[in-house]
Amino acid sequence: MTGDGAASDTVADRGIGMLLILPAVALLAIFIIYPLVKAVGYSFLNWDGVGPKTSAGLSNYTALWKNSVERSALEHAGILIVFFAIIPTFLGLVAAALIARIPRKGLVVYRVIYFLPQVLVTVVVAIVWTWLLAPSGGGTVNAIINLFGFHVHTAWLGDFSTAMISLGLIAVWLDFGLCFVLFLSGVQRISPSLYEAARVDGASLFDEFFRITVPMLRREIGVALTITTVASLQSFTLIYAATNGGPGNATIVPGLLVYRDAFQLGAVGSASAIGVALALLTFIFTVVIRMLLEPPGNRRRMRLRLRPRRA
Amino acid sequence: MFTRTERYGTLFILLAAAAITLYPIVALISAALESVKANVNSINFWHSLSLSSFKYAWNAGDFSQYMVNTAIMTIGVLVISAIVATVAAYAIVHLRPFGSRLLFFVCVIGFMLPVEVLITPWYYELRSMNLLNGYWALILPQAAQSVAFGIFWMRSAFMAVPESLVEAATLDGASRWHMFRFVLVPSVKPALKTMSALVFLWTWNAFLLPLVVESNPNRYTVTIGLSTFQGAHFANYGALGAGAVLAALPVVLVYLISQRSFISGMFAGSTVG
Amino acid sequence: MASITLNAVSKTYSNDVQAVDDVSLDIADGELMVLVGPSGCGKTTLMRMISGLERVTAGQIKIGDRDVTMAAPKERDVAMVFQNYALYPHMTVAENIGFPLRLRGVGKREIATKVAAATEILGLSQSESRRPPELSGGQRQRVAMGRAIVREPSVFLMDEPLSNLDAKLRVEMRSEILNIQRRVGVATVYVTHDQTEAMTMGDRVAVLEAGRLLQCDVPQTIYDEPANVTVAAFIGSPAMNLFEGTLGADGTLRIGEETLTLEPATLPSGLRGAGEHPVIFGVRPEDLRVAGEGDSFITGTVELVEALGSDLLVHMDTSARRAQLPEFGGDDELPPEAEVSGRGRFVARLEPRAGVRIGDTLRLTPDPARTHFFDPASGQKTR
Repeated sequence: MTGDGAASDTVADRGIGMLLILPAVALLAIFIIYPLVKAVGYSFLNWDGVGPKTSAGLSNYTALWKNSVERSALEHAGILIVFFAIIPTFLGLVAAALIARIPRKGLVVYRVIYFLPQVLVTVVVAIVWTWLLAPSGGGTVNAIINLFGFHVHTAWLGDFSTAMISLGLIAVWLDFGLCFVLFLSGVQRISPSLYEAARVDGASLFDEFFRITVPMLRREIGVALTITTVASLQSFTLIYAATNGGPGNATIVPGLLVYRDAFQLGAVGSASAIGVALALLTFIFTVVIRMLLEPPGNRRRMRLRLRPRRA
Repeated sequence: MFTRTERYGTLFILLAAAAITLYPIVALISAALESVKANVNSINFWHSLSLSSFKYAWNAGDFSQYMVNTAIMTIGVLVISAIVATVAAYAIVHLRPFGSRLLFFVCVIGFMLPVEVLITPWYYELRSMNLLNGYWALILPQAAQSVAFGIFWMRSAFMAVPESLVEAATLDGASRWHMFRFVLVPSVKPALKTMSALVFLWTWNAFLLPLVVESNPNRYTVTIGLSTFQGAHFANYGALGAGAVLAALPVVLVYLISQRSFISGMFAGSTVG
Repeated sequence: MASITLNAVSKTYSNDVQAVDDVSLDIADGELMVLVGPSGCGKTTLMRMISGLERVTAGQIKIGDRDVTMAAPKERDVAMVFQNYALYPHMTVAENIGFPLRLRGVGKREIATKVAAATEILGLSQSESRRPPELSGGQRQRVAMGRAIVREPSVFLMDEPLSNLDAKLRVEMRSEILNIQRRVGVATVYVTHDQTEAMTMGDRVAVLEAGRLLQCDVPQTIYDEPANVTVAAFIGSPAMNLFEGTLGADGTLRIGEETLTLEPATLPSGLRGAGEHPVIFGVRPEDLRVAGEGDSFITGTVELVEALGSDLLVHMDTSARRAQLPEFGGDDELPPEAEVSGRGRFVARLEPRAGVRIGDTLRLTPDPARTHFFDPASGQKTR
């Protein structure tokens, strides 16, 4: 237990330990390791799930950029990263920074409210926003815009040019609260006297933001970006329930492609390749974000982080 | 020190953000309270206050079954992962059996893996185990993922227990079991609560897995049920809204009760490295 | 009720760091033995080996007549008070104190009685149902002690129990701990890095450095007759003046450019007789006085005067060279010029109204009976 082992550390302990980790090992081996290995295996095959398996070499992977639909999916994933991660993070930072300098009370209530979208079942979010983004009808976004004298009848989710952006805006709604709450707690660590001193020294709002708030929230920014980026790469449910990739393939995303290929088009190899690519991208993004935001002194052993699951 | 403009400006921002956040939710509730027969297909705030849509969704809409299925799945995953992960994390930290490091590494990979890469092999694996269309198909894969997260999470929690506490208990005469029961588990209870809240949210919200492994409507979870319900009732905001509220309610309730756990949990996990 | 015997105990870590080096010690039943020394000297490691929390690499530990070297901690009947108290935060005071008894299967009623008795002694009766986070530092300390004494152990171990308390509380708790220890009458090992605590609390004091036992004796002897230059420097505040010098056969001591003439009769026998010996010369600040007519003296300029009210501490700059003792810089830090030129300061404790001021030229003479000589090579006292 301590130092080089207390006088009672025994082999028996290790034996019991092995028994205790056995269930975990079994579960992980059967449902994580084995499937992962299988997925990689499938990715090099042409297979429809029932018939014979033939080798596909690397074609499933090269299809990622050769195939126009897959390319679209990746592009859309990129757009989603902007809307899931970058915009909410930025907005959250600005909002938290604005709040930062003013003594506040009763923030708990706000926190509970802002975080609410995160705990709503994703299908529910999709349904409600489908309603709100309908071309016409009471209470919709169009109705609100029209209150100001416009005459808008856009089918936000049904129109090729606006569908992806609309999904992005739903994503902002979803993730803003997460970022805001995160930065709020981080900002409460920053002593108001820092801002007061900066004021006295003649700092502008920009200065305060970029020279005090942002650097001190480095860690939180990293967390926010990681959680949201990883979530955006895996956004299946929201897209499926809101547009199902449509209209046409205007909102196709990698997650959807996996489902279609594997369970509707009988292209298991292709689906697996996309899945593996997603896994790699997730890993890469996590590492990159971590490295970018670690204060220059600390770039040593990289350890891995939490990701939320939206299955 | 701070100008009025700043104070009111801040308040305005906070309120505006709250309004934008709550608007869709208010719209949802408002729709759910529409009478199901009225077949309303747009949002009229507080137009009616009928519970008929809920009755409809619950009975004719089979949401009662869906809720039960989801509850079974979620509780199954929760119980299995809480026990397996806590015990394994304890072992890794205090008993250090062979393979501890490898196990931890696998856990980190395990909960970082997107479902999309696992879903296809899961399907074929569960098919060959003859588990499709049953509860185990829903429970086991998610239990594995939750165990991966859980071991990561609880290991931190066990490691955070001060060494001196463990030593004090040793000197007081505690056996391994006493230590676990009287010192370690009480110390990690908050972490366990947070982990449970998060696993509950993720599991209840599961979509891709149930979509793929359940083709029998009797076994649909509430997420899948809601999705098919949407197909059939897209023009009946009352019915659809009620179904949605039913689906969302349990997690929201758990959230409201334990929101501190929830929020700190989602973040803390990302800074523990 | 038992004694503790340590026989040539050593501890080497797997990275070849030797934490404890061949320590032998006897602690009598009921005695309070203080282990003192600078950070890293091995005192805590030694205590943890007695408790069983650290394994012994070599040597033997006995509690009473039992050889416990290989025994598990709970078989040794040892109770320990930790530096940070290590109280169970989720249990009440009563539950904390009663925990060891509960583990042994003692009946509820008996536990309640014993806990009540302990809280009575410790003045905690009012707080029995509160939890550690609600208690003050001093109260937590007492709960930690309560948990230890309720077991009626054979041996008490205390790991710097006062270091987390503020100065005033520390003084109060010192006497409380002593009282409790006397009442319980059990062999106690008390670890501290504070030499004042060591001197005031120990029946005997064991000074350690780099894993080795330098000296073990009653406090006054450690103070008056340090066996080793490290002990001499560590015990006593302000620290003993220790300087490099050369001693001639006729009693002439040259330190830097100063020369002191000492009575050969007062010199250690090992230094009388032919030839010159390099020595480390030591004299405590209170054993220096202003030189009078006919006294042999060291002279220098007064650099600093600290008026304590009860004494006047005078720092005098001289050409003498300080002895090199890396761990104990002492209270006074050398100014940069002095370090280069090797100049050192003598600190003298004079009468409060001696009228010495900064810039004065001062002449100091040592009390001949209270000078110490150490061998520069080994650090040991020359006898």
